[in-house]
Amino acid sequence: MTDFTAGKISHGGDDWLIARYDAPDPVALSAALQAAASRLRDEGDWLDIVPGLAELCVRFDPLCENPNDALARFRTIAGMIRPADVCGDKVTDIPVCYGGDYGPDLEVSADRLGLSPDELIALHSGESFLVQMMGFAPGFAYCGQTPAALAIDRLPEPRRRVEAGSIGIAGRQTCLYSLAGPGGWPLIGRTPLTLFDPGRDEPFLLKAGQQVRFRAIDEAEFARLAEAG
Amino acid sequence: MALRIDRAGLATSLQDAGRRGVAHLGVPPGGAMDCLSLALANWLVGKATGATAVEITLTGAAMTFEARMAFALAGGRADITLNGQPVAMYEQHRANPGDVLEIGAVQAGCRIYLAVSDALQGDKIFGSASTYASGGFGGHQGRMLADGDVIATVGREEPDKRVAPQKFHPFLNKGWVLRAVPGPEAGLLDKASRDTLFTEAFRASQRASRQGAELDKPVLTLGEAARMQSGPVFPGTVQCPPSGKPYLLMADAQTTGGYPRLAQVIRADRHLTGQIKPGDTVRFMAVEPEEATQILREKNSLYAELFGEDIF
Repeated sequence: MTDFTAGKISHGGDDWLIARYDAPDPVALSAALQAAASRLRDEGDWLDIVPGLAELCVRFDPLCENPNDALARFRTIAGMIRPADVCGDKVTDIPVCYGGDYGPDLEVSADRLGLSPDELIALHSGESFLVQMMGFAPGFAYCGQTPAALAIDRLPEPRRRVEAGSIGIAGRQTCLYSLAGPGGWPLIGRTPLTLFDPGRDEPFLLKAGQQVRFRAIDEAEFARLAEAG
Repeated sequence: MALRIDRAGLATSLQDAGRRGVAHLGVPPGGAMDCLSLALANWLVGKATGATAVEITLTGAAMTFEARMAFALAGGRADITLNGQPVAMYEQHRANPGDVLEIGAVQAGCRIYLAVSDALQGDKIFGSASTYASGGFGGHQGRMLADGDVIATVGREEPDKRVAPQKFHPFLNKGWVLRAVPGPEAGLLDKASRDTLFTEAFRASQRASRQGAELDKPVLTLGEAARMQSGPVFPGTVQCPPSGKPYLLMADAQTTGGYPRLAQVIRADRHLTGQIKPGDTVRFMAVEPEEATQILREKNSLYAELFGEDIF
């Protein structure tokens, strides 16, 4: 994305607005969305500012601002978003124990993708990815974009229980499950890091706009890191 | 000083007015499913309208007061007794240590709010003590209440007696009309399905929780368009998964979703969604955002006489 990207702006509901973008590079778009979100945050008046993967939503208070006035105000920032650099300086290291009980779908996913499990792991841990969006659950991170060779469908039926720390892949993304619960992404591994802890000073390990890089570890190191907390 | 839960029932939890400004972290607003009933119960005991109260769902609950305090109930209709003697909703009552409050099964609506004059002690996280059970935080140990739980209370001055006039009681129904603005992906519906969405009565299925309610018939047709990139959703958003069964999101809904957003129940009517129970019917009535604002202002002004502030 070398130029400004125009957003299609509309009312999402009576008290929220949406800007939708069509850009060829989803990672550059995500970075631009994060930059626009932080400009909106500087304005201060929005109740919520939530970037999606290819859109940006804001919630406003209709008792304070008429919906069409809010729309006009939103347009000044979201109407044209600037290309932004992916902040490349800091990459968070995410140790992952791939396969086995921690990644029950590793082998079948590799098989479906025409890769060996090791090849899949090498592709997944071979480069850094951008945290494009936090959503679904507190601290749940959508990261991308992953190599085309890893693009796989979600599970036909979601699992009833996915453990916290599980790493999934689907489409051109990889996700980190912050909480135990149901989930539909094929699971290839698990990190011993605690992604979300409401009791911690900083509850969230990751935030949108940050970069992550996965690193393969064995079960012994997983146990060691899990114990170290 | 405390409130002891003798029978927690299906889904009883501590809730207040919910969280703000945390959706981008994946944290839903949470809070009372019916903000009007929460406000009424709190008003009756002289508290701030958004103070922490006990939300009780469908099957009722029973609890024992371990200190002297005033209490009041609002919301769904049920038989309620204190030490076996009937007590009326929408009135303030006094309880003494050892008094047992029993809330029967909800006969109309879905959720009842119990407010007490003492301060209920919940874990405050992201600016709210609301229980978000799927995230394991807020309220009492981050979970729905269980039999035997003891919720600590901090004594406050006893409030003046209060009764809420009938005209302020929520209107309970089995058939709900919710005004809604067409959502960002409403255009994906063909003409027939769009007409269906804004005219037919949908049935609320058994899939119902604080996250939302599935409307299982009639079924809408979206075809191939039914999958999209995940984007933000909010309480009141009506999503439509490939099954064609619309899902009405509520307080504890996930913050992003990958299904078309067909409609958004307007802020003025969102409190009603908390009283929808399985088997009820729901109709959506299309309105424009400017109209929704007008409705919101009018509804707030109706209640301003009682609350002296905007509660919707």
